[in-house]
Amino acid sequence: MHMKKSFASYVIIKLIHKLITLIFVILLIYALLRLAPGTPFDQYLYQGKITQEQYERLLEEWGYKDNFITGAAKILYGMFTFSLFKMKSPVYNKPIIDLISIRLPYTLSLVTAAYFFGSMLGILLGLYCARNRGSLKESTILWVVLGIRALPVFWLGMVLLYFLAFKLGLFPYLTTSELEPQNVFHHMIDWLWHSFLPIVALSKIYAVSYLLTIRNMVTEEYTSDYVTALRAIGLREEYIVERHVLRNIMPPVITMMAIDLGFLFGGAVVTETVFNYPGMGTLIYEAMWNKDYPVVVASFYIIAVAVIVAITIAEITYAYLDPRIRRG
Amino acid sequence: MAKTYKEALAETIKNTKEVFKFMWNHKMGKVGIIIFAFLLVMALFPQLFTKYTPDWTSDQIFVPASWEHPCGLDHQGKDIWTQVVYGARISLSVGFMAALLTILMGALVGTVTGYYGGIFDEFLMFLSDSIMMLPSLLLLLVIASLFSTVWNIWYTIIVIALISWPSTARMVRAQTLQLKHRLYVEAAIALGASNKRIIFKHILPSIIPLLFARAAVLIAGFIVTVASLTFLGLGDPKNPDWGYVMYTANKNMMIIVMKGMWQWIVVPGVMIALAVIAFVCLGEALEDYLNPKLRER
Repeated sequence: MHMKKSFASYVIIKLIHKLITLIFVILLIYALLRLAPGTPFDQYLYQGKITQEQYERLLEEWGYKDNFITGAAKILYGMFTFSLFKMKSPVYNKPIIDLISIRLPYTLSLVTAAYFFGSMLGILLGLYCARNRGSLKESTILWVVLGIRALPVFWLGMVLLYFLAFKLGLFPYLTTSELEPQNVFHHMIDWLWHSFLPIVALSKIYAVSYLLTIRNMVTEEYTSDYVTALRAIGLREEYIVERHVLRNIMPPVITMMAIDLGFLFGGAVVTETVFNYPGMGTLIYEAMWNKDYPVVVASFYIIAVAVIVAITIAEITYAYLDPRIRRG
Repeated sequence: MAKTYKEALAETIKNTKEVFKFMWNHKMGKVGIIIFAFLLVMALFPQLFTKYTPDWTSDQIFVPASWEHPCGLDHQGKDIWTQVVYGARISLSVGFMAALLTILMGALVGTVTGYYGGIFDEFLMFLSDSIMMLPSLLLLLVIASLFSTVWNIWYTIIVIALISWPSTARMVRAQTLQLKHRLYVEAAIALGASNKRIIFKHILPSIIPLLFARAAVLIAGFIVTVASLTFLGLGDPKNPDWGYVMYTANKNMMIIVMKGMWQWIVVPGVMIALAVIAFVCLGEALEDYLNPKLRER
């Protein structure tokens, strides 16, 4: 009974902490936006498309003249009532929800495919390395990984695009399909074919980091005293791995996977720019150049919520799997 | 028992020699040292690698690679290989300075919060939690593009440090908390040593070696971060680094494809990769030196 209560209070404290962090993060982004020079209407003014008077009126109308407190209050109110997404973007003159609902599926499909492909490959190779530690196979894999790890994602994207798409013509260089999909299956294959290069470029990050982490964790377990003891009493290697080693590394691996899931958006921006991929990354990038406040704030709201939900799930799972955490 | 200046210097030289010897006999350490030395020579004496200056312009543009111009000429008629060679200086120094600033901030925040604790600790840890909650490249991108009209390389360095200190601070804080309860530190407290003395004489000396290993890893990451930023068009055109060469390449992708100027894309990326490999290797070797338990593997 006592256990249950302390676990619940642990979760509640964590959630309150996360809520404060979320508010703080959004205010930070808003403050940065307000500090930055320029508005979306500057270019119209310079080009002489609008008069000074119209310019002032536009600023008034779109809230660029609100003082910081009023603006922040509007944003926070919008955050909790979700009316933030119904606000209009001054650049596109459309509600944010319309913009995001077109872009979000692209990014979500890209990053989840890259994430699963990359992390699975990394975990399998990491386990393989740890099982074959000290062998020529392991050191070959590790040196190759060191090289791959050093390649910047945007560079990998450009090289793939140049050689595989432009020179060899194996993949399309447009990442959106121009064909009308005939059925779901056809649509899936078409999407995969068009997004294959960005997926490869992005999944590299996860493959490398998971390989190294898993390999280090498993190797550490293998060289620890309890495994030596288990070997000494004559247990089979497979049994030790399944019952003890994997079980011990499970909590940190689950935590890492959950946290990475939240951070997926960050890595997507650069990749999307290289491939001209019509996702959230390019939307945020354009919105920042245009000083499109509502779109930037709403996008960061989605990202921060994704990260917070992922981290909270990770922490709770960890505490559930490893009772020492919630006591300390 | 105060050491004289000469004795301290002699000891430092002896320690440096020992570290270098260990690194040279370490597989990754050796690779790291060789590549790093090569890049350092390129950064310090770029004249050795190219006969052109970065300002040299030809009257021809978009010329494919030849013996005269190993990577060809770019959209302004500049020699691309020269741009890459002179970019080494900028990429390396920006990565180095950003890492230095990050380490300084992290060490300061980490020791102070770990040693004193209290409300100050709570606040700074909350702040670091909040910063860690946002994808750092995206945050850097936001700040750089919002302030793009006034942006230059110094802002890049400062903003990277402001975004990246939390992880170092957390590491230093954890170490400080551990060291604080060691017997020798408790003995110093009992003897009435001042807080300042304990931090500088007893706690920091055990943390500094770890910071060197951390700095190597940070530099490797920051070189890519800075290159990504300039690649997205948020660099400082007055100080073109490796990312800037690739930014111009990406802008002219269609012409590059038509003329087959793949060197324009490949060479700057290979340089970035070499730099990252060098610092990752140096970091791993240093870590092995500091943590003898890992050496046995």
